[in-house]
Amino acid sequence: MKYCLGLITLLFLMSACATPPYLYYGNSSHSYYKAVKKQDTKSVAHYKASLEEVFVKSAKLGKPVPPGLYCDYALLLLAEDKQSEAKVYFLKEQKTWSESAGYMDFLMQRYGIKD
Amino acid sequence: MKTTIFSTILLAVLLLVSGCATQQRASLGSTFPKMYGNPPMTILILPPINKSTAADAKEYFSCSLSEAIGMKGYYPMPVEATFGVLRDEGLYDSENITPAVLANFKQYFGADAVLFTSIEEWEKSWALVSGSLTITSKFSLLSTANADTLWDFTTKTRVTIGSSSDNLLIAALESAVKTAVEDYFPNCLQANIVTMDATMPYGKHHPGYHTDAEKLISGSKFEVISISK
Repeated sequence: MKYCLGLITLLFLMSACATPPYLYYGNSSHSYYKAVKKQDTKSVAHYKASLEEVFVKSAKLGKPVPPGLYCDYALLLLAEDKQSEAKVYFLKEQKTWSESAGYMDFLMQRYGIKD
Repeated sequence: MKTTIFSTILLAVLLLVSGCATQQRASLGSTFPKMYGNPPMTILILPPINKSTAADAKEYFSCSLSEAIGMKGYYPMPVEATFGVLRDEGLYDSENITPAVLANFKQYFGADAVLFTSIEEWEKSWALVSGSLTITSKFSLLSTANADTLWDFTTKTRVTIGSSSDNLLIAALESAVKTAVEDYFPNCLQANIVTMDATMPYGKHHPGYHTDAEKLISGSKFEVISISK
């Protein structure tokens, strides 16, 4: 009896520990910090790659891309003069997080890519 | 024998009672009722105010708070874009932001609330082969509708940083190098995630939304958190 209770408690604790996080950020925040800190081409490229990894992994896991990351990617594309691609990602942010709609409109207007 | 057992039990009870007296617990729901009535969805993270002596602390916080808030089920306004707008509008110094300005954050950014962060302490200490990072930070979440404080908390987080090597000499060298050039971002991110996880109610996007009102936190809105790696 004692053994069963111990096992149930252990399984309960293990299941609680195994609860997956609600969102997947990967290494994107750390890469962002490095890009802000170093501000060189290599660290910005790493940041961009870390965001792409989050997009792919989030889709695989069936989770939404965390708030703000599509928008950050759009800003990186704008820095590469890829306006039309940037717009796609601003719109993805809007679609994923409806509360961002007004702010994304404001940013697209600010960067001159709003219709 | 009986006297010894009685004394031990009495001592344990006294210790528990003294523990309760110094650390009163209160529920999240009773401490932050405004986070349950009409909770914010969108949070604008203002540039942290750095009162510590560590120059890097502000960037560590700026780049890690978004993940910590996002994981709680809120929509943090994208930091890179937002800080750009704040710089252009002369609002980058959070010290100068008054309640009268808060309504503008609702109007122009669509933010329901703004997060003020003050880094009070950032202390690194290293012994021969291990060290610790102590971060004390104050957080306040203010409504953009009426400048009400929706949530506020102060935490002192102590992160234990050990060497990855079992060899004493290598570990000592490693700690010397770490003291000089260590990137403390992962520690700061972890501290902020643990802080928000322990003290902030879940936001609307989180699967646990409205399930944590009975969760107990420090009634004094100050918590000491230890993290071991």
